[in-house]
Amino acid sequence: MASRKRLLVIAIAILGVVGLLFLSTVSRFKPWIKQMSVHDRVTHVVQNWARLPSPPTDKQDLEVIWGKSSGFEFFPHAAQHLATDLQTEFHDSKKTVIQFTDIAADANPKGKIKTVKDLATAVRQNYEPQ
Amino acid sequence: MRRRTSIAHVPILGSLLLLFLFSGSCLHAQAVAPLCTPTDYKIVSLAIIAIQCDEDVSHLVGEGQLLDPASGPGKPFASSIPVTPYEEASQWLIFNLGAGSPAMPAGALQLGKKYTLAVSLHPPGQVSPPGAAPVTLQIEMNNTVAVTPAIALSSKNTFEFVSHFAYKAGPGSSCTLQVQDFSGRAQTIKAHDCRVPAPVADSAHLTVSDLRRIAPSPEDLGSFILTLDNANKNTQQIPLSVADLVDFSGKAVKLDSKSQLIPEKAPANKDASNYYINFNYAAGKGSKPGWALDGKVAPAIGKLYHAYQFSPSASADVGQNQVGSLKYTDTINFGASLVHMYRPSDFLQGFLVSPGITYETDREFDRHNLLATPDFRYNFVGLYNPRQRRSLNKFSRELEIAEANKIPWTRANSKPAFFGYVLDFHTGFEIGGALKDTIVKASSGKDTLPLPSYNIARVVPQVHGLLEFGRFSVDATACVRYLATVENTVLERQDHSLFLKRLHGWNSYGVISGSWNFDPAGHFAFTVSYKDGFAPPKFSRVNTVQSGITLKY
Repeated sequence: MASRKRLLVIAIAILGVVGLLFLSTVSRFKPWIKQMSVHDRVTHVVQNWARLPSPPTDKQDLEVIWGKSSGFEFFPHAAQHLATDLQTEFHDSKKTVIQFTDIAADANPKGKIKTVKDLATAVRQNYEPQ
Repeated sequence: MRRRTSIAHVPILGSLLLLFLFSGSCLHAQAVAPLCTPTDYKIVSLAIIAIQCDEDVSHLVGEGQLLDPASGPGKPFASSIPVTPYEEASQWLIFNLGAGSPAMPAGALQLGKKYTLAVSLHPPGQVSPPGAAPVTLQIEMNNTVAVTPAIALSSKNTFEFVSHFAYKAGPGSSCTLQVQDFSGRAQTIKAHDCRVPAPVADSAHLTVSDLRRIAPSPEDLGSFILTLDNANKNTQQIPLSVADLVDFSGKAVKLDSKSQLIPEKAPANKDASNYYINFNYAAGKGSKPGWALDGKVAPAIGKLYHAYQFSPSASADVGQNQVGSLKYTDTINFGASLVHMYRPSDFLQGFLVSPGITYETDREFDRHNLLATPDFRYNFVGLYNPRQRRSLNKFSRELEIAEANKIPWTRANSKPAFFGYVLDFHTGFEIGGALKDTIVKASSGKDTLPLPSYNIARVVPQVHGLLEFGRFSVDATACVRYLATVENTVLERQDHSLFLKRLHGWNSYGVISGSWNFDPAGHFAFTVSYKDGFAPPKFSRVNTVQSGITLKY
């Protein structure tokens, strides 16, 4: 009797684990996650990218933000990181939300995205959720 | 006597300084940061307005008044209108006329009129401090649309049509745009990917929760985006209208007459490039003039692939005509690599991984080595501090002070840092082999010698350092190349006879360069370089001093 109970518990536990694994692969947990605007999501990505203690303001220059904490060049390496982080955040977008060459830097004067606000605008203009 | 007088002034000056600091701190204490500095607004219906602030207002609520700007604050159209945060967007507030003013039915706003909004904000459960001035914002009830090019250059021919009015509907995925050139000739141009990201289909019955569901990003309200089928390069054109683009009230929108479809200013397909050319010229008595070229081209091509960037590269460090006993480096490389910078920890802040392949040869093209060239660069904490980064840091600190004192401050105002330094370490590997046996010819005379093929397995640790003092900089690279297998090379004696040499073990090579930049950006410089050691594929002894002009982009 005791062994049947144990088997039942093990079976329920296995089913639970399998169920969680299944949910983690098929669901994005959208119903439970608070929706955020593109602007706020971009701001959070920039905060994590630059390892800032608080979210940056719209007017802050990306190159200046990076200069505070950087251990390597802003362009191209840190800009590539930022573009990759944004693509991960907006993985459901039909289009690439940003290319690192769009980001302005002393080493890339043809780029147009200078500030956090520019970046949020560029991502919003390209973000098309599927 | 003068000295004694100045000492006597010290206590007075000290007191004045203390007074200044005290008064400064008092002033600073009095200057309370505004809760909301309005920057934009979106009219979603005749009862709901979304307001954007510069600050995070997600923790604030309030009450608002709707005023007639002509008659002033005396008699508001409506008061005690609830103001709530836009939960999905931390910088936005919702001003809901329909909910708070029973005296005013939904639809109080009238098209074509101007209003002033006055909003008093406070944290929930509290009241606005007495005497606090309300936030005011002028709004205009018209559906004028401004056309702006997409900010990302990679979004070729894409334009955004921005209005303070939310759009009810757009024309569908394919659309046409009526334009007019400066001679008044109208024309229709086709576009694709036309979309209204947040259409407000039924504004009369729209609730705040509907609004937040329709537009998690309030910036999407009153946004219409399209991409022209063909680049608009020949002429500047004024957009007149977009078929089927209507505002929330169902009226066709009016395009701002100042808007233009400005042609692209920069080619979008020209990727980030890295060009370096150093040309040196040398002359000596009794010998032909000599030159040396040290150049590198490594443009980044295409998009990131799994966070790696593809970069083909070509580099040459060669010389012509020997001057005196100087011996130039003789290396030409063609190759490609994938590059990605990892950020492992706070101590090892950057770890650059660049696996690649390289075809290694010399100016005579009598070496044909094909190599796998994985390279790893380590950036440790505190060792990446070039002038540029230090200048940005300095500017950042100055900006904080300037903003606190409300002084406009840009990077042009900030004096660049004088001193900078960089120190990084590499570990490289060169694995492959000489593709085939070759015949090596002497630079003068008829002597030739066969060079048998061989395997290559090299380990290449390298240290690179940079010191900057204003426009002057010293850049040094030292590498020791360990040849794990025996490599063959053919070398030339003074009398131009050739001999075969077998190489194994350590071979060092170092370069130290001093540069004086002509321009502040450091694109053009006068450079003096000293090179010493043994460089592949020949591994002949190099021992040169070169001076010349460097071009770096």
